[in-house]
Amino acid sequence: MPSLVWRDIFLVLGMALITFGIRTIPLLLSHRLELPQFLLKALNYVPPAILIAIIVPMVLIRQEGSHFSIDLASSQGRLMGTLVASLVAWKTQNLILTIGLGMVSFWLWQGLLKL
Amino acid sequence: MKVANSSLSSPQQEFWRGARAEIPMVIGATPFGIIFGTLAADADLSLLGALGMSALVFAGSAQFIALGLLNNGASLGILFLTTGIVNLRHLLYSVSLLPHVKSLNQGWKSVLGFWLTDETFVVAIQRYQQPDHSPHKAWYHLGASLSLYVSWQLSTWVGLTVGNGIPALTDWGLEFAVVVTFIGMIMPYLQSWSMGTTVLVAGIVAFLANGIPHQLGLIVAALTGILAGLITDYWGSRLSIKKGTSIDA
Repeated sequence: MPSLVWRDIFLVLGMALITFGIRTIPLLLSHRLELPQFLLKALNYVPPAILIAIIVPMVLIRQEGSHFSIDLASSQGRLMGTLVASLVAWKTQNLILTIGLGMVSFWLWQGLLKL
Repeated sequence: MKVANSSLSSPQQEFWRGARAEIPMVIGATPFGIIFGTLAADADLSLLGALGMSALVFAGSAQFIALGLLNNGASLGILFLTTGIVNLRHLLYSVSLLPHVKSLNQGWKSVLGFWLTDETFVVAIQRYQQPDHSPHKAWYHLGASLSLYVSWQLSTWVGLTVGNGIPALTDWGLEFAVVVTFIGMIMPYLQSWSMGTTVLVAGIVAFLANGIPHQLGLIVAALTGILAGLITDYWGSRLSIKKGTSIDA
């Protein structure tokens, strides 16, 4: 087999093992761990905290290679989509509608910019 | 949605409800899978490597970063280290699920752990937090996991095979779908001042900390946001206790 294939096998197995370990080890130990009350409370905040931290840079920051920059001009369409999606999510609590209208307004704004 | 008698639902019903609840997440993740496949076809990675990554690693952001590192000629050591750091957030998810999976056997936990992603976690945790005492909530979690897993494999494959045939696919901004999906997931949490503070602070810190390598800014932002939420909650309850005592007096 060519060496690239061997490298990819090691690569995939290594990445898989590391990811699986991080995801699973706390679960496997769950019958032994008793979490303190304050930690249980703190964990309620995990989903929204992580989700917002993932999307803020996606909306505002432009990445070229390893160079990061803030470019509001190129963020306009994404800001518009974010605004519309937030309003729709707030008013309707409907996930599919939020995704649909958010994407449409993003594309419309991007299209308008190109006219 | 039929939630009324959910405590009576069978494992099978829970499974399919979970699979269906995951559909919005699938919509958000599919463009990413296609773009991953498209980029992987051109990257320094074999077809086997690309398919294997989606099948066995199953971690979108780590997969994208791996492509970037491979193209820069990074060593396996760097790739593994980065994978660990980028996936650190899954540790938070895993710990969050801890109280809910205690009664499951180790086989179940391994299976659910293997499929634990951003998109399955947010759907599963909502089910676990519903007040009914259905003994089959893990089946809902499993359904959501499989639904995302299957779509991720298919979208990777589509990207690898036909991605390059679609002109400028990577310029369409399809990855924006993740942003609007997550906005829809965040909104229901905004029911209290403390949750609002968490989202506001985590968002600001994520923006400011973006330059930190390996996406560590993400972890810093999330932890700062959680702390800010806890502090707001603490002061809020102190205030209401004070108000309560003054009324009593």
